[in-house]
Amino acid sequence: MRRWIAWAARCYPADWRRRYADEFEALIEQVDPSWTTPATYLKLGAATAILGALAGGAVSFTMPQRYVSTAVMRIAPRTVAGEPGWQSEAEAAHRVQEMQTVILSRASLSEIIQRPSIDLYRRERARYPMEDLIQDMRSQDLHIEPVPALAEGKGHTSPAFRVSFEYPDRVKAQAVVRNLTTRFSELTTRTAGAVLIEVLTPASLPEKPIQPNRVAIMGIGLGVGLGLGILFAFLRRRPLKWTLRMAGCTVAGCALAAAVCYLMPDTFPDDRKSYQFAALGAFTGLALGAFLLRDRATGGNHYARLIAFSAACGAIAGGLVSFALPERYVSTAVLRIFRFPGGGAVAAQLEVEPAERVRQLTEDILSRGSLSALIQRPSLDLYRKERQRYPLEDIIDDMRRRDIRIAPAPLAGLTGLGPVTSFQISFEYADRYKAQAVVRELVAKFVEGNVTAERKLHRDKMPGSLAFEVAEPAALPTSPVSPSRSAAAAIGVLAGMLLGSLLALRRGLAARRQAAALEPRPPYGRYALTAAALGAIVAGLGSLVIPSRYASTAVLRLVRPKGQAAENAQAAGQRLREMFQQVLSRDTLAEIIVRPELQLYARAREHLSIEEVIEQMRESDLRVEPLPGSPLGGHTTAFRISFEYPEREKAQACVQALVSKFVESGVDAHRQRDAAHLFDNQLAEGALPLTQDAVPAPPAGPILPEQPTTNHFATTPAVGSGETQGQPARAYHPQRDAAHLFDNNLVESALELPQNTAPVPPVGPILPEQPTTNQLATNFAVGSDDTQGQPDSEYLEVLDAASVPEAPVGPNRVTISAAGCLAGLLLGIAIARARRQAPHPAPA
Amino acid sequence: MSDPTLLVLASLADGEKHGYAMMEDIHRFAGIRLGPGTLYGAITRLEQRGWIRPVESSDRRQPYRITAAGRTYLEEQLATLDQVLKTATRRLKPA
Repeated sequence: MRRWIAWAARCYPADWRRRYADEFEALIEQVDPSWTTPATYLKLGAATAILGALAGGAVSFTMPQRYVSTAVMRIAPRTVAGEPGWQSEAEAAHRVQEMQTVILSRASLSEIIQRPSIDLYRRERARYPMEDLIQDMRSQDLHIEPVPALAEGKGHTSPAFRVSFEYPDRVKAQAVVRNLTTRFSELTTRTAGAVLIEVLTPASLPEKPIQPNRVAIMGIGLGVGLGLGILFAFLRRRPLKWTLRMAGCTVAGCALAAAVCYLMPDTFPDDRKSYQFAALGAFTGLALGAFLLRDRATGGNHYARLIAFSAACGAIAGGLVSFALPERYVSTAVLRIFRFPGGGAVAAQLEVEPAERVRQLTEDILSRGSLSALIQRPSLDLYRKERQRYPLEDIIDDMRRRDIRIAPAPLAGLTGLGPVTSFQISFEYADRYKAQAVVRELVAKFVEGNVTAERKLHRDKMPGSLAFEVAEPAALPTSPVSPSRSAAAAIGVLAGMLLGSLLALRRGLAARRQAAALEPRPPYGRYALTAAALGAIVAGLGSLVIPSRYASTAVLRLVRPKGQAAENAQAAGQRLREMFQQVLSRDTLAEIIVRPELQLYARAREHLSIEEVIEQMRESDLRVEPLPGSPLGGHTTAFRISFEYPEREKAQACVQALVSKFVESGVDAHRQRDAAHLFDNQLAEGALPLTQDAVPAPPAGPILPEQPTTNHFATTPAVGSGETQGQPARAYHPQRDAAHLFDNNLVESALELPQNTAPVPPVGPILPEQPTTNQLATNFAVGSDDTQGQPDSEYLEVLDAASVPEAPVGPNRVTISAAGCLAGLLLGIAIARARRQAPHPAPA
Repeated sequence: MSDPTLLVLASLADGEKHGYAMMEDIHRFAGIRLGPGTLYGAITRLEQRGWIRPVESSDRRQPYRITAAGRTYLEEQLATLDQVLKTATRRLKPA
C-alpha cells in the first residue's frame, strides 16, 4: 500500500513533488499502515481473489476445448430352441468382447489415427511414438462401457453398451465414434448370426464442450487469490528482515530433511515419501522460525499463541510418527468367472454355481496348510518377525482376518457384459513386492483349483463349464494405504491443541495462585514428576532382577474324517477328554518333571513336594486352551499347548514331551477301544466262555487322574488313569474331581459338527473345516495299527510342533516401569499434600 | 468539523509538528485518521495561504508551525463554530 501511495504521488505536479516529495515519503515510511486491520485483510484478500478468478477465467480461455461424441449399441443374442437363455447370452457377450479386442487393437486404432480424413493427434504424433498415443487413446479418450440393460417387453432385457470418444475437434470425435460403430457392425456379420448388434443411438455431434470447466477453474483461481492476498497482507505487516528469516528457516528445514532422505535411501526409497518428508521438514523449519522470532513485547493473547504452538508441535510429532510407522501396501487382482461358451444344446449341466465354486476354492486356498506353505516359502518369507514371537496359528488367523480380502468386484468395460461373476483378491503387507507376489500366487491357486475341480467333474472346457479368467492381474502398489500422514498430522494438531489448552489453563491458574499466594508451598508438579521418575527407574531396575521367561507352543487338532456321523464325533470328543485326563494327570506330569534331561523346577523341588510343584505348573506355567472357532460358524477341535519356563530349551522340550504324551495316549485309547470291540464280538459269537474266571478284564476302562487339578480347564468326572488299565476303576472322589480338568468349550467343540451347510459369501477369510495337508505337520493316527494313516477314524494332527521361543514373554519391563512411574506419581502427590498440610514454623 | 485544514491548524495551535505527529494528534483529539495524501493536500493549501510555514530541520521529516495569520483564521473559525455550537445546543434543549 505504501508503494501504491508513493506511486500515486508521482502523478502529482512537478512543483509539488519538488517541494513535498521528500517529506511525504518520510511520512509514508512512518505511517502505521491502515491495512493491518482485519477489514483490510478482507479487502486485500477479496481484491486478490477477484484477480485470481479473472486470471483463472483468462487461463481457461487459453485451454483447448474438448468434445465428446457418443453412440449406444444394443446386443441381441441369437435364440435357439432348446438352448438355455444364459448360454445365448454368454455366447453373445463372448463375441462382443472378441470384437472389442479386435477394434481396440493396435492396428485398428493406428489406422483410425492415421486415416487422412480423420488425422488424429497430429501434433502429438510429431513428438511421441505411436504406441504411446494408442495407449493414451485407449486409457483416456476412448471409452466402451456397458449401459443398463434395455427392456424389450415381456420381461426380456438385452445388454447394451456405449461407445464414446473425447477430442478437441467435435467433428473428428463424431467421425471416430461413427467409424467404431461401423466396425462393430462389420464384425457382427462375421459371426454367422451368433450375435446381432444394433445401433440404437448413432454417433452424436457434440455442441457444447465438456472441457475446460471454466467455473471450476475460476473457482480455483478465486481460492488461490484469496489465500495469496491474506498471506501478502500478513507479510506486509512484518518487517522484510522477519520475512527473510522465516523463509530462511523454512528452506533450511526443507534442505535438512532432503539431506536426511539422501543419506538414508533405504528409509526413503521413493520420491513421494521423500517429498512428504521434505514438506514436513519445511513446516518444522517454519514453526521453529516462528518460535525463535516471536515478539514477546507485542501484545496479543499469550494463551492463543501457546495453543497454536502446541498444535504445530503436535502436527510435527504426528508427521514424524507417521514416518516411523511401517507402511503397508495393498495389491489387488480381479478374477472373472464365466461359463465356457458354445456347444449349443450339449452344454454341461450346471451343478455348481459360480459363488459356490468360489466358496469351495476359498476354503481350500485359505486353509491352514495352504497359507502356512505360502508364509514359509523361502522366496516370500512372510511375517518373519511375528513368527519369532507368536505361534504360526495366530499369524495365519491374522492373515485370514486382516490382510487377505476376497470380495465381489464389478468389472469395467465390456468384460462385465453377460452372465459374469467377478471378484477381487487383495493382500495387504509391508513389502509391496511381496504383496503383489502373494496376490499372484492366490490368483494362480484359484485358476488351477478351478481347472482341477472341472476335471474332476469331467467337463473341463465343456460348454457351460466354469472358467476363471484374470481380468486385472495383480498390481504393484505404488502408494501405501497406511499410515495416513494427513490423518496423523490432524490427530497431532488436535492433541496439541488439547495439550496447549491444558497448559494455558494451568498457566492461568498458576498466575492466579501466585498472585494470591502468601507463603511458599511445596509444588505438586515437581514432587509428582520427581517421584514418578524415581519410581520408573527403580521399577525398571527391579525388573532386571526378575528372570526372563520363555513360552513354547504347540498346536494339535483332532481331525475327523469326511462324512463321520454325529455320534462318532461325540465318541471322538469322549476320547479327547480321556486323553486330556491322562496327559495332564499327576503321574504324567511328574514323570516329565523329573526326567533326567529336563529336571524342571529343580530348586522348587528342594523345598516343595512334587504335588505342590505340579500344582504350580498347572496353575501358572502350563496352558492348554482351545483355538478360536471358524468364522463360518463351525467349531474347531484344535487346541494349543503352551508352557512357560525360564529356560527356552526346557520349555520346548516340555511341550514336545506333552505332545508325545497326547499322541501316545490317543493310540492307547484307540487300541483299547479296538480290543473292547473284539472282546464284544467274541462274546457275542460265543467264542469265550462266560465263566467268572475266564472273562478277561474289560480293556477300555476310562481313565482316572490320580490327583485333583486346578487347571483352569473344566473337568469331567475322572474315572481312571493310564496306570490303572486292566484294573478296577477307582471310586469317584468328589473333592478330588471337583476341579475340572478340561475346558467345557473345548470338549463341546470336539462334539460339534462343522457347519458345512452354512451359506458363505466369497468375502473375508474362511477357516477350512476339512483336514488340511500340512507339509510340516505330522499326522498321528489314533486308530489301531491297521488303520494308522487311514482317515477312517479320528486322529491327532500336530499343526504346530513345539516352537523354540526366541523372545521372552515376561517380565514386561515396560509395564513394570510404567507401574512404578504411576506409583511414584501418586506417592509424590501424597507427599506434597502432606507437606502442605503440615504446620509451617513461625517466622523468627 | 471534518475540514482537514481546520484540523491541521488546530493541531499546530499548541506547537510545531511534522506530518506523522499531526496525524496522530488529530486522531487523538478528533478521532479522525487522515491519510498521507489528505494531510499533504491540506498542508499544501495552508502553506500557500500563509497560515502555516515550515521550520528549519535537518531531518527528512518537515515540521510546520502555525503563523499569526493562521492563528487569526483559526480563531475566527472557532468563534463561528462556537456560535453554531451554542445555538444548536440551545435549540436542542427541551422547551
